[in-house]
Amino acid sequence: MVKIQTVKVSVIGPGHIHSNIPNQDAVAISNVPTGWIACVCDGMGSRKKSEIGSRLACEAVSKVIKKSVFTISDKVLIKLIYQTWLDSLGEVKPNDAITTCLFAWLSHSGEVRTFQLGDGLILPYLNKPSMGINNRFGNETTGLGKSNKFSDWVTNKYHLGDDNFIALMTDGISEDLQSGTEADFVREIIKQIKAKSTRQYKSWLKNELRNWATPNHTDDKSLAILAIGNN
Amino acid sequence: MSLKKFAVAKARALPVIILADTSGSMSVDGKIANLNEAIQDMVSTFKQESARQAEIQVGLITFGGNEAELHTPLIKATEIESIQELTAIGRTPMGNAFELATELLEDQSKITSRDYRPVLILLSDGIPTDEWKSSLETLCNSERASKASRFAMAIGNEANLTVLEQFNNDLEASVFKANEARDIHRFFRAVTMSVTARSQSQTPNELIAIDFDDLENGDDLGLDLSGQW
Repeated sequence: MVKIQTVKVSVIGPGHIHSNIPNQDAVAISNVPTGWIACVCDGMGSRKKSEIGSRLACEAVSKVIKKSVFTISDKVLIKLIYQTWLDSLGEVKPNDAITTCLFAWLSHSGEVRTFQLGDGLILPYLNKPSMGINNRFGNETTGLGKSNKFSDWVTNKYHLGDDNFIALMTDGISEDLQSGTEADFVREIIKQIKAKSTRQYKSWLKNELRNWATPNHTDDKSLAILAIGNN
Repeated sequence: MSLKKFAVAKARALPVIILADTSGSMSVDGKIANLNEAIQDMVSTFKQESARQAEIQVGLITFGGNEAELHTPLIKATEIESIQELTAIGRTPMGNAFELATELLEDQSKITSRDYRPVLILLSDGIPTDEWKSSLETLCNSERASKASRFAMAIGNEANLTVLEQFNNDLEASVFKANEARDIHRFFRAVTMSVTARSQSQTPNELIAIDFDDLENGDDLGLDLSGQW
């Protein structure tokens, strides 16, 4: 069984503070019988209940995976999670609660499955980081409550060894990271975890995200990391 | 140790690119003078509004004479001292302007993937004198260029509405018809308000309409979202 370190953090963006609206991101890390889950969801800013949509999406991911075998097919898993999310909305309309949904499911043996609907970044660090080509423009996204297509989801499988990690972040962070430094950014956070107490590193990390260096940054910022062994 | 070094030290941009007809016919009835004033007013407003959510950038492509020209490269509105006055002369190479716009929109070094969906503004009082159809088709089908919001203004009765309507992709705002020169100001004021509102909103990109009927075979997740909308 692999040993892991986990990080989860979410801070409200200055734009939301200015507009007096809540943090619309949600982040979760859970233990499940088959391993661990990390999940970040970014509620769509223009929707009035998106903070509910993102929170319920994290809960739906956890609820479904807790009862699932690791070999469940991508499409069945996505459909179960999506349906659980729809059922949990109650009186809230899906269109008012649109949210991205990014999650990683790590098994006890280091296998990891990743699922992404909408903006944000899932960054696996194996022996070297890999990045995709992005031909879109910022904030051009889809999510639960908007998409009804399996093909809108990006799914992947990896094996994480010692010193590897999988990091998930909402676009409030990923869109503002300098290209090519994403893995170093996560490694720096993991390094700080080792050097500080839990309370110290959480306070440090929140402070760093609140005082983000990109001018006019407005978005909420959320991050979840599952790191194997001694990073 | 700080994480600051990993963050891009540049705000996300909202690019606004104007395609301005500067052919000879714009020289009459005070049209070019009004256009010059309207563009200056717009830039001046953008300079005041640019400090918040998105940094507005402005670029200007002119088409008059033998070929289109990148008159003002995409630049932060706050850094524009003044826009050099446009002069009106010659033919109407609108197709060439579409080509320059496509080139600019597809250039990821000029408009990055973290920038907001650009705005293209076309204004013309005439009929294109070059091969515009294939150039507009290329613009409308290019991966990134096709995603820009496109507005159009027809100045006077001579303008080819067919071209402008094909260019325009704002379903809620049809081609603006400027019957008098001062209407140019009205159009620019409307676009300026739209851009500044976007630059200050939480979601500077408009949502894409959802078409649940447009599903590929085998791709439909079969969930009933419609009953709950």
